[in-house]
Amino acid sequence: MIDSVFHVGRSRTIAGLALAICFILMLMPATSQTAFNNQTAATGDTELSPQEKKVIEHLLGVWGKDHSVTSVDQAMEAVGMRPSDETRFRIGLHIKQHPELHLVIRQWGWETLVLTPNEKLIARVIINAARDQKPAPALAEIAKAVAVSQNDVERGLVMLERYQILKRGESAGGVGYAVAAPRYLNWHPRLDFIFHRMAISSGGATILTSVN
Amino acid sequence: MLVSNKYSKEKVVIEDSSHEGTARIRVEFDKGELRKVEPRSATLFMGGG
Repeated sequence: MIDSVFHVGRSRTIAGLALAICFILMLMPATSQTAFNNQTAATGDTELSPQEKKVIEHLLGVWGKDHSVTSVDQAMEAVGMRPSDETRFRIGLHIKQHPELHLVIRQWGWETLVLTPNEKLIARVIINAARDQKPAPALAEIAKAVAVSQNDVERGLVMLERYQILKRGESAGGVGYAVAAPRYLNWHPRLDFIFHRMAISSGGATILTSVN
Repeated sequence: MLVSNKYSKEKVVIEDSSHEGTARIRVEFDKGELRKVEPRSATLFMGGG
């Protein structure tokens, strides 16, 4: 009886063990796939919400007309989206990943379209210093140069890092960010991170656009 | 060009920056006429139409 119970118990243990192994084997590819998906989510394609797609559609409709290089933040406002760095980044990343969407992206560069004027000026302060082989500017110096608060500079730096324009590094000096790609140092100083924004007031409404 | 043609009856505010540095430039037009330039030291070239 004891032996029988033990036998049954041992059978159940073996069956349980086999089931667990099968379960682990079944789970392994799924786990690997999940890990892969997370990785591609960070570096691969960005899936946009219907509202975010509306912003893209707006941009595709206006880019190139009357020299328009309308930016993402302007388009978000035009379609009635509330300002959000996170949403703006998702839309901007989609544009960065899809230069085939429009000639304006290829002609003017995604940086021109996805960054705000503040972010462009912050990038310019750091890039110009590196290009001129000057010490990296401190947070307060950037805030003064761009005429924004130190909090706004920090927000801008985070965005520039997410777009891999700048990289954080202890050896960077100053504010702690360095230029992430050599091409930003090699661009012609007069052509990088530019903006020409227009607000046209017509019949009680204001149209926001950027022109080249 | 847009200010003096397509938007010649509108109020237009242009925000720009100095390419040499990071100074901001703001220019206001009303009905095609220049109304305000900030900073006043900014040199404005108006061409193209």
